[in-house]
Amino acid sequence: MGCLNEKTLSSYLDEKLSDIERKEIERHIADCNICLDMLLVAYESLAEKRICPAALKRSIKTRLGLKERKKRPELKWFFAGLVFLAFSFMFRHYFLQFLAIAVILGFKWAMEGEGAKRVIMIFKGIPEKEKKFERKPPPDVSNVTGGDRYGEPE
Amino acid sequence: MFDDTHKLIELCIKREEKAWAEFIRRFSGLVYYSARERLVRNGFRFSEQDIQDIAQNVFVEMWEKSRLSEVRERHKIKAWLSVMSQTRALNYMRKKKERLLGEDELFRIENIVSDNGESDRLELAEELETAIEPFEPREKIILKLNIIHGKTHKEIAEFMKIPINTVSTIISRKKEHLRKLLRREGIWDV
Repeated sequence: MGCLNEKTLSSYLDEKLSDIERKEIERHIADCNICLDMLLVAYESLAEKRICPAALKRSIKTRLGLKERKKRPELKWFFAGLVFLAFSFMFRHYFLQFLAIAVILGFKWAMEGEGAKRVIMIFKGIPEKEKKFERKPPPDVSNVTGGDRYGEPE
Repeated sequence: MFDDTHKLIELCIKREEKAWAEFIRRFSGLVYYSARERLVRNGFRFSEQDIQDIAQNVFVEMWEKSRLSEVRERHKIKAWLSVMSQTRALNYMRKKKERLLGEDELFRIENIVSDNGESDRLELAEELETAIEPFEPREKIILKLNIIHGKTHKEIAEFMKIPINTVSTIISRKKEHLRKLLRREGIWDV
């Protein structure tokens, strides 16, 4: 007995079928445990929101060549700093206070930027420069599938 | 922006990047779950990398072969996506098994296919299969879902889109019949 194709089988849950169409599918899944179980997993997958690892979502987007939108959360500090700088000129009475807040926010913006992070990493890395000649452990290949990890046959 | 699934699918068919990003966000969990569940139920041993490869392949296939344009009712595609993910997961593991056999690494097969420890359940399923043979298709499905898969009356009614009363009536009527039959054979001691 040939199994139903994906579209026909899934139409049992996805589509509004006529009585004849439903009975046709039921006649098959009543005797075919593979198709019944497939539909059952499909039914269970609808029951609640299923989570996908974020890394997998990113790798799917990369495989499809979709551009990843870059979030720039540090910009909020920049604009907040700008607003307080403007306030310091608008409210002369609190000039120094607003200016101080603007400077703090500006500093926060500068330190959260990618460039600043890189500078911090370089400074952190300087004392460890001596370690660069240390022998590295071999990479873990236990998860690698395929035959080429054994190298070319001699 | 993409509240309507039908509209989202239409835009994906036109290859709009934002729509695809939303499509991945919305459906990757379902694809991931379905592929994993299928391999678990079929007793395959697999790594996280296997599941990630399968899920990626499903989306790449939809993108490259424009599979979404083949869908008839575009506002409901979840079951189709799930069934597709399951079949791709099985194909992937079959290919992997063949490749390993081809490399003369038979010893690895035991790492791939395992006994999922359901021999008792399978025995009951086999006996039930024989006992329900003369029943109507709809009755067979209801009994299998209830006895083998442990589904509630409500879940079965939802699955088959029939009233819950119909499910309850069929189960109580046929179960009594089955109980007598299976008890006589000494299989079902309920």
